[in-house]
Amino acid sequence: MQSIRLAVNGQPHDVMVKPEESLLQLIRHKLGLKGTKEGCSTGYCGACTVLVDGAPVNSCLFFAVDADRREITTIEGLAADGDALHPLQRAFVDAGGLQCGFCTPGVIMSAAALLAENPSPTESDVRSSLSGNICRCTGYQSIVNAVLTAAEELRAQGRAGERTGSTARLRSRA
Amino acid sequence: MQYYEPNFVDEALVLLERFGSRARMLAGGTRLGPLVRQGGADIHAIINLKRIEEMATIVKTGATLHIGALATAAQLRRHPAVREHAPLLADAAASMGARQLQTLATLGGNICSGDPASDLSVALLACNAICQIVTPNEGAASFLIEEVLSRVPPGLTPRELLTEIEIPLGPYRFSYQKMTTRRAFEMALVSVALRCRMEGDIVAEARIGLAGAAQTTIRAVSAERALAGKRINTSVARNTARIAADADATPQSDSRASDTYRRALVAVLTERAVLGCGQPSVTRPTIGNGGL
Repeated sequence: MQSIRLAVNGQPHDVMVKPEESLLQLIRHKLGLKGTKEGCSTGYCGACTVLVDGAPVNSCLFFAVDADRREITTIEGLAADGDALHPLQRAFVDAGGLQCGFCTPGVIMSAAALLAENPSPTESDVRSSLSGNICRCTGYQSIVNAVLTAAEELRAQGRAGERTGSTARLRSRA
Repeated sequence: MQYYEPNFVDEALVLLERFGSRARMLAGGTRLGPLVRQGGADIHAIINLKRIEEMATIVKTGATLHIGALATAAQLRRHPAVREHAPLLADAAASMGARQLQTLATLGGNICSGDPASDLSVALLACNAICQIVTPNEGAASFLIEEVLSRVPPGLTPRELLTEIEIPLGPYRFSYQKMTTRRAFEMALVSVALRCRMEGDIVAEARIGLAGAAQTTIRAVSAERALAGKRINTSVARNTARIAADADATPQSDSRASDTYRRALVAVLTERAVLGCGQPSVTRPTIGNGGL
């Protein structure tokens, strides 16, 4: 077992992990954050997408030991403190950007990474950035609409290009 | 299972010497992760290379672009020096679909996996890249990329560590063409990477890499010869494509595509690549049938 320290959604955690353990297993089973979903476990479906130091990764492929000294953002850490939804989450609700909802946390984390890098994406940018997230319900159009609406809302709020979740909060404290 | 996190190449070499084939090196982890967690593989130690900073730099010195083996596809897609001096590699990296995968997958991992459909490897073949490989006792040595990629069995030996890839630069034209069935985490069915050195409007030298067209990524040497000395036009492009498909490609059928279809794709994509080099501007990759 290895001892690691990581920040998840702004909270520091000291945990023991096995070398073979995935970040997904750590997040769900040790930290109890069940928003991140386990789909294929091989990096194809994107349901387990989280941000590691602000970049989207398949947490099923990422080794938990390698999360040592890194900042992780999961769907639970996307909204600022409080009850209000992040504009991306709000847009998915309003646009009906989901049906069964299993892929949704991963889709939203991919979208969050896109909007942090590119606050004014085209529809093609959105489709390309979400190409690693498989949804078997929606046909994607309502998902794409939701991301474009959220981008507009973030720009209107003067939050264009804002980095989401723990990374932004830890950095602002530092 | 033991876990190590060396900070320097020398530390990694000590571990390689000690564990040999009982160790696996972790770079992107896109293959190692599932392998380890599915069990069955006889792995005693994981050596995480990601903290070795000297293997993660991208720097241009003179007419060479030095890229650390740990450079990820996301870095290659975005890095100004790669985009400017090795756009073929940036295009190949950008074609790798899923952003999540681009964050993780490394240039070194693409080479060492020996995958016949590797996007980055086929771009390196066309770029005439050099691999710097170190071993515990013999130190560093340079290998041509095609030497490394044509090894049987594919990949490096348990005592070798790929540290850096060098790309010779020059006034080249490039074209990267790829076909997949969808964009996400999808290796190419076939991809073609072409680098041309022009003298006026004549192709003085051509290097063509093919992925998904043989048991390994290969150079299309016959097609290269056919293209050299020619002025690019529709009939030259078609003739080069036919030679690449008939003389160079030796595709095999698998669950993703038949040999006949792969051979047809080699012809179509090679023709597009040649025509793409007919003008000075760099073409963007052609990718499959769309994303979502």
